[in-house]
Amino acid sequence: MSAATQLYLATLSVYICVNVIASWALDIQFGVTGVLNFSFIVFQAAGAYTAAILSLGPSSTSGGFQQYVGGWKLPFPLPILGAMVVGGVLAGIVGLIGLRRLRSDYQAMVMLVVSVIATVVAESETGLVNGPAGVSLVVNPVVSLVHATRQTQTWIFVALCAAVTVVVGFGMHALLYSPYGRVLRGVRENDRAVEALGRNATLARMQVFIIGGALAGLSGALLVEFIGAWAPNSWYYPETFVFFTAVIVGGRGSLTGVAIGAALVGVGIQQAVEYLPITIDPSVIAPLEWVITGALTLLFLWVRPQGILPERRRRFPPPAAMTARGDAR
Amino acid sequence: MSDIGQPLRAPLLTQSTTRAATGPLLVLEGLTKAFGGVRAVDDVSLSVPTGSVTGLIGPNGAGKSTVLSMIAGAIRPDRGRILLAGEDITGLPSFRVARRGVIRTFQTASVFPHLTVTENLLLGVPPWRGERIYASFIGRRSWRIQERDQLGRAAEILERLRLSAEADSYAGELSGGQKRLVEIGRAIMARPRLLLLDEPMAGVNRILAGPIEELIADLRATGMTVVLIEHELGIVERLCSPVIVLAEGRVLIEGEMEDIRADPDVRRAYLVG
Repeated sequence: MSAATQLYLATLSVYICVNVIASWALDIQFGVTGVLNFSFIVFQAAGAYTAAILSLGPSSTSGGFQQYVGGWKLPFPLPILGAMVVGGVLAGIVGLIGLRRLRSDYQAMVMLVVSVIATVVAESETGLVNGPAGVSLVVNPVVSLVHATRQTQTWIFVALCAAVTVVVGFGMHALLYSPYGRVLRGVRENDRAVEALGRNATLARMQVFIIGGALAGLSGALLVEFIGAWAPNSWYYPETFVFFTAVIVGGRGSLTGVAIGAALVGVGIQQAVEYLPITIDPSVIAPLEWVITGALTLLFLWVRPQGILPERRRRFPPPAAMTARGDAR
Repeated sequence: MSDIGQPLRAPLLTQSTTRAATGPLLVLEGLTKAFGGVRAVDDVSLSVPTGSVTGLIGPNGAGKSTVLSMIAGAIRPDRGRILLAGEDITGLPSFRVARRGVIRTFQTASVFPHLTVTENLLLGVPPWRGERIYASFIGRRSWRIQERDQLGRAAEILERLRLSAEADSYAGELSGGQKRLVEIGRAIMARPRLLLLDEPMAGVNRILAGPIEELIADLRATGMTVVLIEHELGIVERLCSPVIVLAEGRVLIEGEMEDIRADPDVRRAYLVG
């Protein structure tokens, strides 16, 4: 296999892992708990910027061609962990503003506004994260940790991303297939009833907002450490809808379904469009991706709202069988 | 906690807390609520004796459901106090009121449609350790044992409600009457101190209305305190004592159903025809 093919496949693999983690993060918010987080991409961006700033060192060390707040050169995996913390904390702050005392439709509007404000601030305040040009020259942590060929380093990073995805997947499974997950689905289905049964629906929404924010931050950190750069044009508010489409197409609340949706929508559409034998203006390629993404959302909402792999029905064995097995599942 | 292997009826319907034998469980003092310029509830004072099934009746728009919603914490009163066993719970959010053992059902059956019937009942269990985030990762064996007990109790309640065959069905797939049964079963899972039933027979066919009435009678027999809003006066007469009549947001009269039927004011406001 040629080096170019290997790099192509490795890049696709990293993108799939990043999209799967991000889509799971949105799924626990939107798919499982019913929170319409239209600012989701902001938390991925916050994670990416944080990981970059915690990896690059002070901006003065790069010859001053990029300006950003802070700047530390922390060893792996601290930039990634820092990205998760910032994603979670930012989600907590946004959640405090948007999730309390507002109906879900107004919550969605607040989130959309937050997303628009965030990109405007990032672009306007050039000293914050280097304005419209964004940050660059972020070094892949594997390069400094492992002395090997570039290809091997790339595949090690792919393995790292895959391992992180598996760990996140197990964590998500543990959360969703537990009594806690049941409460979250209760909030999604009928928050008035769930409150009347003693559960604090607002607190549950805040919790998934923070968990999702931290995971979005993680996905952004992995991505920026692979591609080495991050700028506002990669996280304008419509990008959030790619993840919404992934969740809707895959199946809300279904981990496997959402993973399929993430690979299909987040990576598959883009690649399929790239390979189309287009004889018209190449500038239609990017808009075509958006058209297909939007059309897929509508198609699934109309024809198959439960998605490719619907949320699994939780069945419990009869009490007698449970007693014999000593287990509830 | 487990009721498995116990005689069905008594432990199934037992309350979670032991009650004081005397005195009202719930007292409302001067409760008032206006929506816009309209006073839906106007200076309502009443008490609900411990262990009673208290009927709340009145014509449409009398303020019955608003009173119930204020007791449950879903609506904040403009004025007045709500005392539960002497504790002032006025203005507490509904989840805090529920944690004090006040469980309600809604005027329109309010199930979790994409959760199975069993899961609906499991959400009736008061908040417990297994629902904490950390419990998803730590101590799973421990909460599974507790959940097994809860499942046993849910299975018994479903059997009592003749819904065992629907245990794995999504609640949204059931008929209106069955949804109503699920909602009541879910409330019973909570072992409430005070159960607020808002028109439990509304939209329920005669075949299912019978079991619901029997169930409420059984709850009364176990000493559970219930407030029942119901339009079918025959049911109120069979189940409730005392009965409170609301009209235009105010308490019109309180007493036994036979006295209420004979009251000329009530006949004028509500019972004529």
